[in-house]
Amino acid sequence: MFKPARMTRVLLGGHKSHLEDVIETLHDEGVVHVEDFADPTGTTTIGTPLEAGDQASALLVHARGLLKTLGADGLKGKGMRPHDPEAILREAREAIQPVVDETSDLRHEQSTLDAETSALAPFASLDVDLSMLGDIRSIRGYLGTVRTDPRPALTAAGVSFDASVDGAHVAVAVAAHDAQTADRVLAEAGFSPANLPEGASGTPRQRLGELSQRGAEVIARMQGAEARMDTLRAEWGPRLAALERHLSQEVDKTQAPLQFAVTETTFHVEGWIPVDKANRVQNALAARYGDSVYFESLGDAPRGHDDHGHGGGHGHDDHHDVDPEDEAPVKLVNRGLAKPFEFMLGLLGRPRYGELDPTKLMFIFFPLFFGLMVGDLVVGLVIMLVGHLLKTKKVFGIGGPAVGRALMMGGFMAALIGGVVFGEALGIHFVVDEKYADEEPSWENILGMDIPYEDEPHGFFYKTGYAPTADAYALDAGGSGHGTESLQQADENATTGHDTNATAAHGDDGHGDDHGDDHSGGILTPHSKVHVSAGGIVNLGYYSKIHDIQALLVWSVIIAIVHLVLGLILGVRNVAASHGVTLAIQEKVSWLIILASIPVAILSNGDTTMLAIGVGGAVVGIVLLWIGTAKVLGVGFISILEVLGFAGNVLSYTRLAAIGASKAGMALAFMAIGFDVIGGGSYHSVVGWIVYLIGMVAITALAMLSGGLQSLRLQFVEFFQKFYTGGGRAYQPFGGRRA
Amino acid sequence: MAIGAGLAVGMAGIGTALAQYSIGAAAVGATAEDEKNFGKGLVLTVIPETIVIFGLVMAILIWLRI
Repeated sequence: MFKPARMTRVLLGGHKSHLEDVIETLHDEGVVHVEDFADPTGTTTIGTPLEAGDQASALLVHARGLLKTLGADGLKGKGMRPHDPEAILREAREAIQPVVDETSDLRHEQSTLDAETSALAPFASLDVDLSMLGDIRSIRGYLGTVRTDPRPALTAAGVSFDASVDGAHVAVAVAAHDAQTADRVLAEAGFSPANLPEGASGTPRQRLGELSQRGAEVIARMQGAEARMDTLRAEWGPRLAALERHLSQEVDKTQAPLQFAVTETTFHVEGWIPVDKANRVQNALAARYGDSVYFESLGDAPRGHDDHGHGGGHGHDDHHDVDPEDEAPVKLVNRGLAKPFEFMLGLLGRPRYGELDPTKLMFIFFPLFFGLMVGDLVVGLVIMLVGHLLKTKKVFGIGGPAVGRALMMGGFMAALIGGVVFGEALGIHFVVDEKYADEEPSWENILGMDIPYEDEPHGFFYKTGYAPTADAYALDAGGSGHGTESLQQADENATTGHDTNATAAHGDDGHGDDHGDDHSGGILTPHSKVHVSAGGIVNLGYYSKIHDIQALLVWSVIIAIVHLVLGLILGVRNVAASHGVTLAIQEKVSWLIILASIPVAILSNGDTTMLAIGVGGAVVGIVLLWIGTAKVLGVGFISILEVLGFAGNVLSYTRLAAIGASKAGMALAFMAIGFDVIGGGSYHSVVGWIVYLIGMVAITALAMLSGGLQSLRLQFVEFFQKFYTGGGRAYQPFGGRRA
Repeated sequence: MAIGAGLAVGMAGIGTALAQYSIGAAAVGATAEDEKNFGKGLVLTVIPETIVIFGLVMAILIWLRI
């Protein structure tokens, strides 16, 4: 379950006349990971590509070009064997090319019209006939912009002219014989001609109308062309995609001999096959070629470590210096919900062959950590929705099916944990203890619902935990009557620390002090004991991300230790499998001994025997580690630093609580801005809600990014460090589905 | 105490920023070269975030007067 598929190395050989057929068979089977043939004897050479290759490559380029023109290059083709790819391509080009040409002509025409329209638009109000700009022998026309009105200067120069002026935009017509004078005068007035094509007639306004009419015609024709293109895409896209697939397979096949070894008359292939498929391939070859093709299965020992005696057994004992290139390729076998995490694992690198595949563990822990860090019913549901969208779309390059699915699972856990453990939606708790009701909003109060207590008549939802007896709130005597100030004070409490704030208004009930004092019980006791019970099946809302941060930090450390111990146990297995049991004890079991000893020593509580066992165990662990480190690195004392590193690893998990608290802190800040500052202290202010929800959108985006990355990081850096090597090769079967 | 908590987060933040500055720049460079590096870059860039989280945790502990 936690191991990649078992592989076996196979050798194939036969007469060259079978080469093409064998390639065909291997391609059809699609399970052989072909290796570049390494020949220690030097008597063979690599094969040459089959002759059909050149033509297939040319056709492939052609097909891909057409697919791109159609805008259908993302289509996945179905398998087929066309009789005459060349004819199909010719037919496709004949159908598609005219539409492509028409579209490009129309685009050109449209850009010409646009250019003229924008050049002419400023002159719309001038009353001139544009034909004067053309070839009229007796008149010289000017249309353009000027810095100063040229009319007085023209009059002074004795030019006979007709002008229409609108601010800086002028149209001037002069008699042809005055053209030189007019040129000079206009140049002095800073004239710069409009860039217009020749041959227009009518006033600028008429011309503009004409242009917009022609523009509309072009657009209509363009839409027609696009519609025809759509029809062509529907008709040809799938066919061309299938053809593309077929041709690229052909090219693959013709290139295959480059990985083979050949002599004058024979060929040899070396590759890896999943053990459960080896028989199928052998039978297929035997059925077609009988004894004339040689097939041998060598087991999963790395190349160059041939040990025929083992006959397929695990020859891992002396794995030390095996190059991953010589090892079997790694085919991960995960199905269903765990599958997307193969992609996440791919960011780090595949496991080595023989190592455990941690994908399924990531499937368990990624959503769990994500859920703990995000922990909010509504935000979780929103993230599920975003994940659903990201399955098909990419935003800022982030996305794809794997990321989308992982986010959906993370969102689900966030909603679940947010609902049950934290009992909050949109950063607001479902219910709060009555004694905090003045300081903290709750959905119960905002919506004006009065959820009954357990001992009162109730429906499906009821409050459980604290009974609202007078005793429980005796301390709250001074805490009433905060009115609208309450929110602000709650915020101050949250951000500045309670002790300085525990003034008369709050009495003793500042929540920071609750943890050990008010409530009997340990460090893990929540500050607010009231939950909503859903029909007695499940209670919602135990911890508050901010008020119970201490408890949550402790929980984080507990999770850290569980997670890291699991990592170490996997490490014992991995090291034992690859480097032997001795090193596994020195490298990994030593850690487990240290970890088990420390609590014994701490909890010994004065009992000398217990203390001795604890300290002794820790010393034994460190000594073992020292020896192991000395063996691997050559210097043993580094192991002492490593012990401190482990403490760092554990503390690193406090991000599970800290990130949740920081998000809750941000929500509190937006609450203060929205409801206190803008809403005037009311939770029913519409503007306040808008501001708050905008804040929540930002928080959700951050939660997704940081929750996802931090959760991934806890796996990669802290967890994997304890057992994972990585660096295995991907299994890429010849003729198999392309990744 | 509030100042202490603020300093804990603030200075840890500066430390993280310094670390992420160079990693981020390198990651963007690698991504420009080959888009497949985006995921790796993103993961590597958040590694120093631990520092600021330690800072945040310290701030919380100071705030809780432990």
